[in-house]
Amino acid sequence: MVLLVLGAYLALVLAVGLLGHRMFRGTGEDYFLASRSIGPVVLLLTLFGTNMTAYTILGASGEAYRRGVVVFALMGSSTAIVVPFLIYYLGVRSWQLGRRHGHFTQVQLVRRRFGSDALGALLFVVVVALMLPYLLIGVKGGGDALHVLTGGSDGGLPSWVGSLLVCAVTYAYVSYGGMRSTAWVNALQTGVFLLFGIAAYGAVMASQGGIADAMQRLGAEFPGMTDFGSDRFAMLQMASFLMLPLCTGSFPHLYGQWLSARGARSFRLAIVAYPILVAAVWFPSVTLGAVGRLQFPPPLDGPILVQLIVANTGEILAGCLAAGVFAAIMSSLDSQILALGTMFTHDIVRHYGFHGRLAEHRQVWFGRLFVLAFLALAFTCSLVASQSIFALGTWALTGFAGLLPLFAATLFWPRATARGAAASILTVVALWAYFFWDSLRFDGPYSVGGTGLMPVAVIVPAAALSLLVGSLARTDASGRSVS
Amino acid sequence: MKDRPHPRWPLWLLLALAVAFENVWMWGDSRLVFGVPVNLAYHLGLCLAASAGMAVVVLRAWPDAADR
Repeated sequence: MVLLVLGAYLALVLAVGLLGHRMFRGTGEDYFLASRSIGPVVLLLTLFGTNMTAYTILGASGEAYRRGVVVFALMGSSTAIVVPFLIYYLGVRSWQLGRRHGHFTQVQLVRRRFGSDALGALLFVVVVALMLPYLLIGVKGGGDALHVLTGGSDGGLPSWVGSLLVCAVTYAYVSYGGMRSTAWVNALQTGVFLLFGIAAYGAVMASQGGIADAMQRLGAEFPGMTDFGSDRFAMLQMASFLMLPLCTGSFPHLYGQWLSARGARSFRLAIVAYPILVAAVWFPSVTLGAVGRLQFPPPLDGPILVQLIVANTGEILAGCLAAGVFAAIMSSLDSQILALGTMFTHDIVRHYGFHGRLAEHRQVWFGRLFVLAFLALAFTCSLVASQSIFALGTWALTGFAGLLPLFAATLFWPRATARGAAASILTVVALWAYFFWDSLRFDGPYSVGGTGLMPVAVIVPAAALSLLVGSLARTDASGRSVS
Repeated sequence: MKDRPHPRWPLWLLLALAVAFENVWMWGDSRLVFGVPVNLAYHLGLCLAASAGMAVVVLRAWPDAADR
């Protein structure tokens, strides 16, 4: 039954993806940016869907199972506060400049702003290096989720089957319809995991006697699960988590979606409704994970959400959960893979191979080729990747957050220079590598010197300071004002 | 045409929300409000406040030149 529901869902995804292709105009701008025609509703759903990964559904509930309801604040409300401001400032400004100058990628924006090819190349390498492990999480996560949902070690499908399924379906609609199909499918997938999340929440909470009863018992049996604690460690950690969503402003796949908007006013709905959607997804995810502690004592045999649904509901809802997990995975993977295809086509092939001139149909052809190449690479890597790749993926978010000062300065600070920008990127690379290396010595969650302060809270200010010092130390600024 | 820049005052709203995010004065409280732990209810309210605040921002501080 799980496979039947999942199969029906994937067929629906393909149908919507192929529908998007019917409006395809055959140009590079249409393939990579949907001819900058995405309206407010689809923009909201695709931005939100892209930012919600499998980690939101499975990882957040797992974390809530261990730590309690504080996870909502750490990962949910921090995102709800920060991301709308990023869309308001960076999204609208990026769209404005992208439309005016015909940008497709962040590297084009930075190259043009600072007039430096070398800086563009440096940024390209760093962004691609951060994207690859992040990409791998989705492919591997799809395989692992299907394995657990079909029985796990008790005769479940091997992980590679789920990974291959995710790659094949994603390739079909991304390659065929480009950004338009991706945006439409993302809108559908966001609706799916919102609906299935609410359905799963209702079914499981009913089996626990309602949320009030479940929370009362949780508080009585596990006192720390229903409050936030009060030590210094927790304070620093909370402050750090408010900085992690800054990564959203540096994601190349979200940049592409910003550029695909029909107009600046298309962003308004996303800016206002984003926090509400975050609450709608994170609240069920976190409360279910925490309440799961009442029914399943540690150690767990698979994700808590899956166990709760399999134990308390029927197979149809388990199939819906599988569809919801695949929706969350594919709605991120498709945009990431398209962004990488766009970057390689425009920042490498078009820029270096054809000096900015490349026929429209060839741009589309190269885009499809790179999408296929990256999916094949991600699938191959998923066959040999260990669980540590998930940790590396989480670290990628820290790296992207560190790039935010660079993008903010590129868009808003006329005195920023190429030298300052390069100093900022190199600072991120050096600190990220140091903290990552240092974290390998620890088994549990890592914080700077065991204080609770996460590396992102050091990397972001350090990157901003490097940019400031590097730019102001040289008065003959090489950067050009973007206004 | 020179663009009207993004106003800066929404950054004060961001700062206010960031301060409100650190609700340290009630972290140790595990009472339930409408069946939900009070800290969780507070942060749900914070999400709604963020949405309401952004509604004011897009209405009162929208860079009008953005669409031109």
